Amino acid sequence: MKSFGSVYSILRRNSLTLLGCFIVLVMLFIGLAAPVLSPYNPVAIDIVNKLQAPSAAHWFGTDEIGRDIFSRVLYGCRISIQVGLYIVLLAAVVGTIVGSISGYQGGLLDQVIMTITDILLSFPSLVLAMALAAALGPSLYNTMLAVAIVKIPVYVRLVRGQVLSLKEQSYVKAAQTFGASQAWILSRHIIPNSLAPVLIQITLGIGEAILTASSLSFIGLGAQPPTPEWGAMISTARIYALDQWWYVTFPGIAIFTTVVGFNLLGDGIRDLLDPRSKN
Amino acid sequence: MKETILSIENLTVDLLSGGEIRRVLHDISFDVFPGEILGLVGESGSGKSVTAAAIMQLLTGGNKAIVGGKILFKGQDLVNKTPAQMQAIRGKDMAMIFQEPMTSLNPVFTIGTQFVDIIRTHKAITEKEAIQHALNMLKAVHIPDSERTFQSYPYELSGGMRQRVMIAMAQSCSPSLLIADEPTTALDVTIQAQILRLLRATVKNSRSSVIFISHDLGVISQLCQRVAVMYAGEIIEYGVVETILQDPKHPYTKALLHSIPDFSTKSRTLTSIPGTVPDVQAVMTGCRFHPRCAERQEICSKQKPAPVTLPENHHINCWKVSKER
Amino acid sequence: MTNLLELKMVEKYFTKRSFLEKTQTIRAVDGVSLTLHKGETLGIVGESGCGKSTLASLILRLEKPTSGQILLGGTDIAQFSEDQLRPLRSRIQIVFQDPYSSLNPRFTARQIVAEPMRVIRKWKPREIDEKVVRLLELVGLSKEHLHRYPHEFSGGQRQRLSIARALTNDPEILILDEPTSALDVSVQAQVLNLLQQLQTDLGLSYIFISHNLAVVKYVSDRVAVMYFGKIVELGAVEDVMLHPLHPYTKELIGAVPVIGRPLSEVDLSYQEQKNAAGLSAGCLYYLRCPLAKKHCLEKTITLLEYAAGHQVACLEMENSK
Repeated sequence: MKSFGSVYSILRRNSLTLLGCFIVLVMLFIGLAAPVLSPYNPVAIDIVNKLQAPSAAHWFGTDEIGRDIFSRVLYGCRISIQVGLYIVLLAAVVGTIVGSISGYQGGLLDQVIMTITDILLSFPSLVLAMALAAALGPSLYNTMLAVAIVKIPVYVRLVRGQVLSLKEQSYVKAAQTFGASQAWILSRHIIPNSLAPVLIQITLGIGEAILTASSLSFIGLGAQPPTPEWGAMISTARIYALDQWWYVTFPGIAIFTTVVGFNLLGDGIRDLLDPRSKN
Repeated sequence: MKETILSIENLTVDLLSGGEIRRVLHDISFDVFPGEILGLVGESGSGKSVTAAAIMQLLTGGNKAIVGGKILFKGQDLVNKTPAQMQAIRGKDMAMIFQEPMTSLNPVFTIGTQFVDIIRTHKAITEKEAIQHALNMLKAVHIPDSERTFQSYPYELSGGMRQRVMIAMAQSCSPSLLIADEPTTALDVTIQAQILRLLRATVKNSRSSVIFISHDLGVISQLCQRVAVMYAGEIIEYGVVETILQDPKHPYTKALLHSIPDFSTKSRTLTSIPGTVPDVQAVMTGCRFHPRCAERQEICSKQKPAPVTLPENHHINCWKVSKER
Repeated sequence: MTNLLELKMVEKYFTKRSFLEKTQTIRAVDGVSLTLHKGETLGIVGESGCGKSTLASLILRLEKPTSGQILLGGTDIAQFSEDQLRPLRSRIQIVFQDPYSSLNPRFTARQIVAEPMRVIRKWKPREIDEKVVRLLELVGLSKEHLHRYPHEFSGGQRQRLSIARALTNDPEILILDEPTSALDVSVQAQVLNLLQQLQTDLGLSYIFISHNLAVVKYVSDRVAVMYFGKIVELGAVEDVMLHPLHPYTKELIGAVPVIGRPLSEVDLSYQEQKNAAGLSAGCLYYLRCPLAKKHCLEKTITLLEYAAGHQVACLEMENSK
């Protein structure tokens, strides 16, 4: 495993990665500490103060029923991060297991799984996610499930590719010669050695997952009111965009910053873990 | 003093790797005479491949890696050449063939396309003439169906065929110096024999000189007239092949010969050399082989051995030999 | 002497079904019969494509032979299922050629050597730990290597680890598939000496596969020469190496670069490597053989005893007796 020294030196060399790392850490902090940091209750209605511009009392202004946008953005951070992690981890775990069995077994099982995977991958991911979310019913939970399902094929392919080459390694054959079972070989030899690209894909995928989930909420399939989800907020804010610019802008900036942060960090991790990008 | 095709004088090379500078060649010197095959033999870490790369000026880090010494090719120091000047020499007057024929040929182009490319880079001739020249070269290396090979992709050819193609390409501009870096190591032994015979015949016909790099002393003894034995970035013994292999003077050369199973005689025990090749970063005083040497003396750990010259230009770097004189 | 292992007419064919081309059958192992006696080292030499590695896979039952018998201590394991094989697996183990891909980069030396014992699940953790240390010492490593990872070892040390791992469950037979080919010459000597020591101390029987004839001559008692899936010559190592009978064996031996023996002056033309593919009967060496006659393509060639214990598969040899 790489020592901290080299991790630090890579982070230092690449200031963009450092920026990404910083953003992600800030977002994680906000997500955890939202209840403490929020000046107001995110669902507290205050019609009298509706659609106020940003001020000392309400840093990001208020929305159409007087809720503090700043607090809602902070809580939205919590939701988005959870959503992103949930989607990506579910997809990664299921995808890894399916991909490794498919790759290791080969034969008919592999053909069947690959065909299903290819079919799923041939749909534009957003469209497929929409269809699944609509079929499951509008709720944040169903959206997360839908997006995760759409992302599973990516991991299946990724891990299967790794497994196909790892299968041929002599240490796998050695394990077969002492009678190790397929489950033993997969869990101890193959999956641990296929994780690097999976980790890279996870970090790169969180940003995309958050964006997809927000998009679905934007069209009404995901988070339902009064949940302070960024995509849903932007959706409601559309009609007020011309006169109350703050309502659309701040959640938008939040999504943008978070996704960029995760992507920069993901790039950096890829550089760290990809042996070919050294030297 | 015979005229040399190549003269390496006190060459010292440092390479940057993983953020650290490692000295991979320590003050090496040797000559290559016209029409001869000089062997460069050593185990891993000996620096033989780095030497070849240095001569071709293909080291990572370019000229900066060469921190001392001269590489005199036909009297001109290559260390001072610009990349453009080197490009004019490489492939034309100085050529190289590598160990892995799979990776030295571009898999997406046919043999013919690559061959013509090489020829026309160095010779101002028409495509038709280049094609004819390429076919002639393929015939010269005894490839049975040269037209068919010309149109084939590398993956369609066996390892032995690919090496023949490599030799043909390397010889196409009649270079004065050919560097062969373990060209037969990856080949089956019967194919290796064929390629070695081909190399020897090619050299005889064209009068080019060859630097033949290998870890296999048997191959060196069959092909080369003179040999330089390398260890940990230094040349520790250098001279005529028969003398060195039949009556080696340096303890490393002796130990190496004793550790190889000898095919013809009845079995004797193999003696292994204790320890391992020194770490490249390790800064050592004295002889670089002394920690593993069965015949070491006190001075060996303190001072670098002064070179000794025995009759017939047999050079050894060893205190024991030095003291015996 | 007991026959520890016996192969009878073992065949392994691979069919390559291509959409646009004719179905090709690759006869990786084409009717191999041999025996391994207790305590001996049987060498198998051949060049690339001769089937020696496939043969190793078959003996280990990593693959199932297309036909033939593999008798381990008298029991035919050729068509055994994985469950039937499991209790027998510890009797034959292998050391691979590549020191870099034969060890899991994420396992410590301790985990690597302990794994075969843990798979069997018969041992207590403390017994496993003690045995691991003993095995490491047996191969010339030590306790301080226990928690190191493969990348911290040299090539020679990695091969020692592979050997230790192979010895964990007390095998009777060790298959050594080019164990020193990827090592420097001076390290090779260390490993070969270690293997000989272990054979004497532990009463092991070896199958030593290599393309390096000098090494095979050094370690083996008997040797088999393989050519495109068949054994063409078999006998005591001195007989085969010093008095070869089969034309291919002679070519092979003649090609070995021996110090002091000059390169032979032979016709430089390209020698066809491929066997006479597609022939169901006849000798595969026909295209390269200086003794080739018409009947070599027509009759079936089998291994026949020429002199005591020395077998050769060649019609011309038969006729010259």
